[in-house]
Amino acid sequence: MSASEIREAGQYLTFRLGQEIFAIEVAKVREVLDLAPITAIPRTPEFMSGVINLRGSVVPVVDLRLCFEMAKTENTRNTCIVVVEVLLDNDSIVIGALADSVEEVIDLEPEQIQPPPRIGTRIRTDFIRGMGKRETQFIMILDIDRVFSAEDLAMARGQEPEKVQAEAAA
Amino acid sequence: MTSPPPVTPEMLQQSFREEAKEILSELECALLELHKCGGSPELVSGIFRGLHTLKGSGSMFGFDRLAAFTHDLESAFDKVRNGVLPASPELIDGTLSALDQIAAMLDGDGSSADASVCSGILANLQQLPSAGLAPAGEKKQASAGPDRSDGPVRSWRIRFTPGAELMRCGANPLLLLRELCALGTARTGARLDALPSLREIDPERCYVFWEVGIETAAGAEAIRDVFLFVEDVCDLTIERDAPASVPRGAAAQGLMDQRAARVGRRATDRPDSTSTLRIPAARLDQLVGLVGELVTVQARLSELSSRRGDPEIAQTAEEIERLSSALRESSMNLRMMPIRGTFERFRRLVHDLTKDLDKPVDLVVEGADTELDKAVIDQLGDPLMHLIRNSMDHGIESAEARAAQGKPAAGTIRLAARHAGATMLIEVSDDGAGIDCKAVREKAVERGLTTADAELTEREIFALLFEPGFSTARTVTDLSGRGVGLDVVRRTVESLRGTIEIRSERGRGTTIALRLPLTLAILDGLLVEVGEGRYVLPLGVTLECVELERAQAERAAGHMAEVRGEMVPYIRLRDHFGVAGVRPKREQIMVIECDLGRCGLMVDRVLGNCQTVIRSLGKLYRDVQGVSGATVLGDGTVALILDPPRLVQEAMRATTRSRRADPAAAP
Repeated sequence: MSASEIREAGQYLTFRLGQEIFAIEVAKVREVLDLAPITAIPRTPEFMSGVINLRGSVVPVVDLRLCFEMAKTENTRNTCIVVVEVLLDNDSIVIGALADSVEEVIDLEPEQIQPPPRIGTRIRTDFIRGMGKRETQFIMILDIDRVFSAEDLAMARGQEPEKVQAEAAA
Repeated sequence: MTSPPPVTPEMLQQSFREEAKEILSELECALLELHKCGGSPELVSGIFRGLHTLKGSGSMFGFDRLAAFTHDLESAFDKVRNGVLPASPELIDGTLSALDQIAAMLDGDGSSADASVCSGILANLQQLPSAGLAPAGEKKQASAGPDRSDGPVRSWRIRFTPGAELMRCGANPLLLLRELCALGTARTGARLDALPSLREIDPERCYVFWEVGIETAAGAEAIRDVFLFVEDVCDLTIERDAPASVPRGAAAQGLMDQRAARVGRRATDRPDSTSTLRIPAARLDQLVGLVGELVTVQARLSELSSRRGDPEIAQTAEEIERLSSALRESSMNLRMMPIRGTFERFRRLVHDLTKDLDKPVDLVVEGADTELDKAVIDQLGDPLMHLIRNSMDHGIESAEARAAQGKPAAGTIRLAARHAGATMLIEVSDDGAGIDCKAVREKAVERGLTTADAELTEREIFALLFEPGFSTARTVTDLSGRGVGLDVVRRTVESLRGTIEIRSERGRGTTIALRLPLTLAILDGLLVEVGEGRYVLPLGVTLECVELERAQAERAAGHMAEVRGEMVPYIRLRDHFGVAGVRPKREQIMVIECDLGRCGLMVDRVLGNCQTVIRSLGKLYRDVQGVSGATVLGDGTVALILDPPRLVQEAMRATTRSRRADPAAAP
């Protein structure tokens, strides 16, 4: 199944992971937080950073850099938590995604968006809904529901405890 | 604000289902009471009323099969009420199984109810002594109504005055009249006496009443049946027109009796509707969530105010603290319910098992009004059922065996609940044979759960009972012996953060005590530190806390510590959680209680007591072992709530695994 084609003009929140710029539909984003202390949960994979207190609720945080198998970078004062609402097994849940910095909200017309390339991207192409272009920079529009429902997360939810423990022990 | 969603038939049906389930459980209790104490008139009419309500609302919400079936039951109890039919054990048993069928009809589309079983039950009811009381519904369906053509044609005068509520509950008076006229030759006259002026008219109200003269062979019963579903919301008089063998005075007397009965029914049918509210649990959860949030913010405010040292702010902060803790208390109380409903359900189970096993058993219920979080109550049904079945099947001896030991022939199972500090204590005890430690041990060896030469304390032997697949019963019966029961009990109780204790004396009986937290929303715990992380240990399972110096720890062989002369195995959470860094000089061992006995969890530091609002970790982390939730601390950071029994299990699995992978590393 390929990512649904983007036909309508929309607003996107762009953020940076390493050198790359990514975008998420504004409708999926609940808020952007400054980096808050993250409570790690023992014996879970590294990309599952832990949980934060979001005004009394406990919200899980995922490190997108590690999710996309990019190198881990130090947190800076620009590091943010983008709080998104995603569908996981048909339930809407709130997840925080760590980003190196949040850039801006942009409008993109459908003709400014190209289908995802089959090869040549750093991350799995089925995570990408399309490629936007802004001046000379390409922007990868994420299919955020897909990112969080992938098997990687299934593993974190305990389907492969052996592997999780191996990682935790490492 | 969004407008409330429109009321759909599904929603109405759902609310009927809920109502019907309540009525069913009330009926069940009443029937069992009837069985025990014989028929008091109030009890019988209570049962009749319950059936009647079921039938009426059932047909209103489209549960036609249910309504037809209940109608026949109702007829039977009408006879009991009128003293024609005795409330025999057969009738009660038949009705009990009929209630099960009704419950099946309520679920889903009702296809799970077995039609042949239903008709079997009805046939049995029909064959009860004092025949000729054949259920009316059955007859009506069977032929075009043989009771209509039976007997001579008589004239009746009927006055039907719809009440204010009649049209609002969806009944159509014209259809009722048409049905009535179909019984024979009828003249109908509508009376408009009560019609108000157009300006005052309420379009949802029926102001017209009807007088019907009818010549029919059907009896008064058949005529009244037409108005069955609207009986509560209309005034109905049925009179024999022509002078007949019955003297007028008697007829009038009968009529008055009927009216009195109806008034009485109306008064009891409607309990004080303002005293209770039915609220979706989700809304309560939302409220409790908000209160939890408030409490967290309040804790931060208190901390700030004490740091600022401004007396005015301090006063306000104190005020808010007082208010929010009161608010928390009362919002938690909203979720508290007496455990009665769950307990009373088991009367039926014991009643049925008494017959199946041929062991007379009395169920004694104590402390049924003890209140407990609804979320806990909802999960208690299964474990208690397994425990009671177990007691009936394995605990209580046969009547002969009891007689030989000089015990009363009827066994007793006691189901008791009481508060014990911040926990709830539920005990299931029997006066049966007690647990045969030797048999348990032999079985465990046979199953490979332990070795023949292992030295086990009584407590450890009892713990074996809760292993999956364990059963000492020589034969597998319908009831228990499959070895799923106690395993289920243990898992449920653990998931509720509770503990199980078994006391047993050979020949005297067994008591199984479940200790459960009063609520799942709040936890009393100890805040501990491991590396950078802070964790909450439930106070309920924590026995004591001992300090261990590093030198002492290194001397001790393996991970064992001496606590009050007993060697206790422990898990160093630092290692288990993979925390880097230097271990502190002194570490603390939290001694906890789990089904293997005592076990220690080693932490860096104990920070103190804390009462926390439990938050779920959410779907993403739902399968994390050893952590049951999280809580927000006063300074706004998140601490994880540990699940010690699971943690111990998981750590044990991890050690066996690593030992298998690397035998050289084994200590």
